Amino acid sequence: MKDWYYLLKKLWRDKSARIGMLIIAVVAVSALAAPLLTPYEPNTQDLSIAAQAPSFSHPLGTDLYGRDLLTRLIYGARVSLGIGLCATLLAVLIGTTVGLISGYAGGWVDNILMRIVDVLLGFPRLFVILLAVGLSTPSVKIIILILGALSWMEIARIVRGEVIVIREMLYVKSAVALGISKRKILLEYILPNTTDVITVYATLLIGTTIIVEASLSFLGLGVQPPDASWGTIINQGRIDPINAWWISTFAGLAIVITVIGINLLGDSLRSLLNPRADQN
Amino acid sequence: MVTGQNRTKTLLEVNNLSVSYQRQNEFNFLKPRIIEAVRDVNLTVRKGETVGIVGQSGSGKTSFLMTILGFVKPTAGEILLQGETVSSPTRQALGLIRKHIQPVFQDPDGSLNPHKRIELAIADALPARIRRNKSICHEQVLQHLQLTGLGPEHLNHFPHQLSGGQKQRVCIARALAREPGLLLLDEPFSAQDLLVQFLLIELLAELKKRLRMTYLIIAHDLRMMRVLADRIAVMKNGKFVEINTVEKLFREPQHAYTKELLASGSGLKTNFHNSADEQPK
Repeated sequence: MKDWYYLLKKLWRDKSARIGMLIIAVVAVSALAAPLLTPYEPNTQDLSIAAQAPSFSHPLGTDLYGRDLLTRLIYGARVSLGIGLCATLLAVLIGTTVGLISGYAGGWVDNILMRIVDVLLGFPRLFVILLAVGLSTPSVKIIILILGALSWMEIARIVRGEVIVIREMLYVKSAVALGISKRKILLEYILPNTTDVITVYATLLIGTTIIVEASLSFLGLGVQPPDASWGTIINQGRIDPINAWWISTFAGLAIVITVIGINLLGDSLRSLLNPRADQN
Repeated sequence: MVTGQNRTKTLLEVNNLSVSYQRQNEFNFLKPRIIEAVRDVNLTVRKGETVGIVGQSGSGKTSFLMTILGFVKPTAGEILLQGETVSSPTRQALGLIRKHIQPVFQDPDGSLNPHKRIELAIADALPARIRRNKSICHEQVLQHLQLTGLGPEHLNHFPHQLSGGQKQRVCIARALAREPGLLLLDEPFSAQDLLVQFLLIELLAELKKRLRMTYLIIAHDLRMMRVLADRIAVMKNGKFVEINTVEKLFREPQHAYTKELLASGSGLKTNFHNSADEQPK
């Protein structure tokens, strides 16, 4: 508990981490408190106010169906952040498990698992995702499953590398000499010492996943209308990008700012948690 | 070799032990380089005895120790623990080693899991039936910690909150919690400053008296051994060139290399290039 407190304190002292955390906090809080923040419904259409430019009552304007854009962006944040977080969590879960087993077991187990990772990494990711999404009925759950199941390989490799180093540490050798069970050594001696790299990589992965989800929704393969997602909103703006410029612009900005926030935090975490990385 | 009555008192017996490693050959990848770390070594450790192994870095001391611990498979020879062969890494042999032998390594910083508080680190060494009862477990952990001169105030600390000497004491307490017959100490003092070294030596001497511990200590400093050891084995290029009692070894060293070690006062200062000793074959 205290470790987390110190880490947060250190992060707060770091300028880019502070900006990153603030951006993420604003997006996350507005996503969670969406109904309290806006008087409008995200999916209720009112064609009489369709495609209105930003005004006092609609700060970011309305979309082609007369829905308040800010409301839709806030509700869209729920979908984008939710998918980003859940898919990353799934990827971390699979990747960490595979990496731990592969690194600790070594031998043929390691060989087989790493060849599977090699094969999966050899596939063009976007193509596989498009194919998988295209073959199934698009829904938030399916997208989380597909994105999670196709992004764990790098984590598995990183964790495996860490485990191979940690396995040779004296504290693991001491634990083996004490006769502590393999399961306990893996869970209490090796796993806690890999959390730093996992945290850094997972943070950066959330950003990537948000972009991939937006791309899928933009292509019509992700979240289906009328539900709001940043990708679907950009797609809608594509119909009239000159006259209704605010639709794509603000949705695009939402993605860019959120991902920048996540990456700023991820990079700061990397230099704080890993003293070997750049010390700037 | 130990025979007859002596065998009952013998804790560890090492017969004709050889250990070699394969390394990649930069010039011919088809023919790996063989490095002979330990060559045809014999040693007996009796119960309650302290045996020191002295030699310069790279002489094979740590390989010898890792082989006894079952981390490295010997290429030849056998190791007997309480009369039972433990040199082949079977589950039974490893179980016997884990029960009776505990190591304390040179680097106390690396020997403790940075994410585990001292209490949990020592508790991990206790049997499962004790760990299940929280109050007994706590009591036993404290007992072992106090044996090494630390107190209840250290229980909640993480390793990085302790000094080097304190960490080494925790490592010793953890090893003792397993109640081993034999404690293997791999250069336990070399990472410490002089004062801490002497305090640790005092501690080991006291534990030896109180718990009738058996030690196998590796060091490159002969002076440390003089205080602690009953017998000393001098290792060079993977071989024991001389095994003798401390008095004899210091009074009348037989081997040129031992004389050189004694003359230099510390194995570290030895100029082994000018040694009159035989060269490795």
